[in-house]
Amino acid sequence: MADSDHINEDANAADDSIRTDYGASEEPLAPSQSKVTRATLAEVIGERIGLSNSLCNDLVVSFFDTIKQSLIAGDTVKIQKFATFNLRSKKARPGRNPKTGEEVEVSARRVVTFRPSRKLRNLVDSRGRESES
Amino acid sequence: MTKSELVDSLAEKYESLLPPEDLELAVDLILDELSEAIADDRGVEIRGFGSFRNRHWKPRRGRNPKTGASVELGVRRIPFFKPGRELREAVANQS
Repeated sequence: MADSDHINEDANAADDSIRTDYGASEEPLAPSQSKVTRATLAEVIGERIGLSNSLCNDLVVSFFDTIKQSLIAGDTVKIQKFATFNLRSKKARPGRNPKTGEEVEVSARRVVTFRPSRKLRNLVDSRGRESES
Repeated sequence: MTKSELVDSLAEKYESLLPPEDLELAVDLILDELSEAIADDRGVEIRGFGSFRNRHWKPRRGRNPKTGASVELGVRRIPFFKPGRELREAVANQS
């Protein structure tokens, strides 16, 4: 992990094909913190706008479907103040079946990459500092 | 696709069910809740789409590569997204 990553934060997100997570760990989530799912999001909308449960669920499903369809069509999805979902084309490369050790080619494919906005990165990082100090 | 295009496309779909202002508010609520959940490290998992988790770096000493000065790097967290299987497979085969 290059030291410059903290000083120049953009270096981290500039090229999503390069792994930037060496040395990073995913801390287990506290059991009391239940994961946010579609249902959680639908509830939030229901409470604030007062729509029926089924309409809220529908909206949330459509929200992610619309993003997904756009990505499948090959279009970048840029959500201001949240993040950009991008597509990268990967060439075929040699790989191995991790179970058998057999050599197989990993076919050419497209992958989705995620680049959090500066606002989201700052929010996540500053909240992290508050909770650790 | 931009956020406003996303809102427009949803507004069209739900035209007969709710006014566009409410739809825009709903989209903002989704994005705010996602951001808050990620920031609080609650974890987000949307089946078929993907999950959001933070990666953590422990505090350590680093150096400014320009001046060589030693700097303290605190705890850092960066949000990551892992595409779900459905999204990954749907996207993979397109060229």
